[in-house]
Amino acid sequence: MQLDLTERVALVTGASRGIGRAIALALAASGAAVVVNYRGSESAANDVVEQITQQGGRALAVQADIADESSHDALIKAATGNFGRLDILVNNAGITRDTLLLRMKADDIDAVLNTNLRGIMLLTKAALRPMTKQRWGRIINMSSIIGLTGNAGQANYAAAKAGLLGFTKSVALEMASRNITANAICPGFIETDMTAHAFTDELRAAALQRVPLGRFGSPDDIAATTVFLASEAASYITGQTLAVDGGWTMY
Amino acid sequence: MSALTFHNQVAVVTGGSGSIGHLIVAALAERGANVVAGYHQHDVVVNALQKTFSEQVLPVQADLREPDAGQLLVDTALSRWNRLDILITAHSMIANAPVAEMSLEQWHAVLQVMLRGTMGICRAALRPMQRARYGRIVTLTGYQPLAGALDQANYAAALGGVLGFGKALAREVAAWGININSVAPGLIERAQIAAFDPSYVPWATNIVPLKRLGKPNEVVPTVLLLASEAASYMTGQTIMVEGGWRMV
Ligand SMILES: NC(=O)c1ccc[n+]([C@@H]2O[C@H](COP(=O)([O-])OP(=O)(O)OC[C@H]3O[C@@H](n4cnc5c(N)ncnc54)[C@H](OP(=O)(O)O)[C@@H]3O)[C@@H](O)[C@H]2O)c1
Repeated sequence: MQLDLTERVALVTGASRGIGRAIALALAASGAAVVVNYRGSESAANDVVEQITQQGGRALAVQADIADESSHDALIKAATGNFGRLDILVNNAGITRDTLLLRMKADDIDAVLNTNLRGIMLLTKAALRPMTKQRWGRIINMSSIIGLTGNAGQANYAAAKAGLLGFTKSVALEMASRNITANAICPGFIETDMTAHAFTDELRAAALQRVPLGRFGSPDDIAATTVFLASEAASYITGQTLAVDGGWTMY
Repeated sequence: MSALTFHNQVAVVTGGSGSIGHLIVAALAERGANVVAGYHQHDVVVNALQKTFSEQVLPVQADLREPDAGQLLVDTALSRWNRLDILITAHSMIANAPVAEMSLEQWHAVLQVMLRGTMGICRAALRPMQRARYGRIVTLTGYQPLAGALDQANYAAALGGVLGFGKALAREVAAWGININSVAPGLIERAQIAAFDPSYVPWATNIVPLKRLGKPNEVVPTVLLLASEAASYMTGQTIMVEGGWRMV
């Protein structure tokens, strides 16, 4: 099975911490050169790059807010300019602004949609140019099981994540003839800063009850699926949604 | 992750003589597993596998219409290697007809082989997996139950049953570290179909967004992923390998 990514170049958004960090490390361990995007956590992003280069890999940290499209060209060029191409885009950066819709401010809606959906659409558009030229590409979008199930207190996040699934399928259809695939991953409850801060002990216990496998996921669980989708092994998979959620949804 | 290995693991593969199944047997054996290759009629294929992998592949003839066939395959693996880590159901049987014209025999045979046969061997696999508190079950299904298919109502019903059965069982046995997932291939190259219906390949090539049929060896990696440690947090899932044809 071809999980070897030597010669491939990847751009992972939000790769300074959490799931994105694990993905950047796993892609690099499989041989890819990685652009490690971050927004605010500069030293964390530099740590990721250092870990990769210490293992003999190639990586570069690039600051950019995904919600701001004026930064997108620089991100793409970081890949094509430094590593010669762009094969794999992992749209992982994501934020939450949780509150009940009754109390949700327009700003909470805009912030989440701009980062988790609009920014991804525009960055993907920019990434398609080099991929089309190469006639090879992988778009991997980090959605969420919340995009499948909805969640009280996350109307903005659920809308963005569900929107991302429709976006993924459309990109898959538009780009298939160029040998560019697009797929989405829906992580369940994964142990990262995002979940560490958002949940009280009671809510964590209640969430755990819903996971048949009886544990929360680790960023490495998501990274393994991402490497698979990025590789030649997934050449006939496009427009799909893979939930990595310990059996939470089973949709 | 870059090296999916199955050293010292034991697998049972049904349909080990089939176009996808024999590739799965070979891929598992190449990566270190010992494999019982279940087959029904095509002993030439499985015997060739045994020749290549000698001790590592054990062909076992079993007709999955027989109620004890699943147990036989599992027991053979246990008595030879004393454990069972992986079960992959890759057997297939079709009997196409519009529902109004479908004979009772066509109806029953497909349900019996595809649904009851799968349920039976999954059940047989549970005890050794529960004892070891580890197991990976991967069922090969198809697009038919997810998207419908002309003249294949029996097949769609049987595979839809396998998907429902798999999810229910996934919930039952998750506590033992047994994960059950499914791979649903789309339109895959098959020499028999192309010979039988010359319009099939041009039609499929045109209709699939990736503009080509899948190759049997493009289905195998997804099966291996789900059979491996790498898929430890996935259960109850169905992954379609279908070039964007249906996207359900
Ligand atoms: N954790 C879960 O249980 C879970 C479940 C389902 C889905 N997900 C999804 O998985 C993805 C990663 O989640 P996580 O748990 O790893 O989150 P996390 O621990 O909060 O990390 C978020 C990462 O995204 C970056 N980021 C946020 N906004 C950005 C922006 N506008 N531009 C660029 N980078 C930005 C952060 O960079 P800086 O630190 O540099 O600002 C950080 O690297 C998200 O899309 C999330 O929705 C997570």
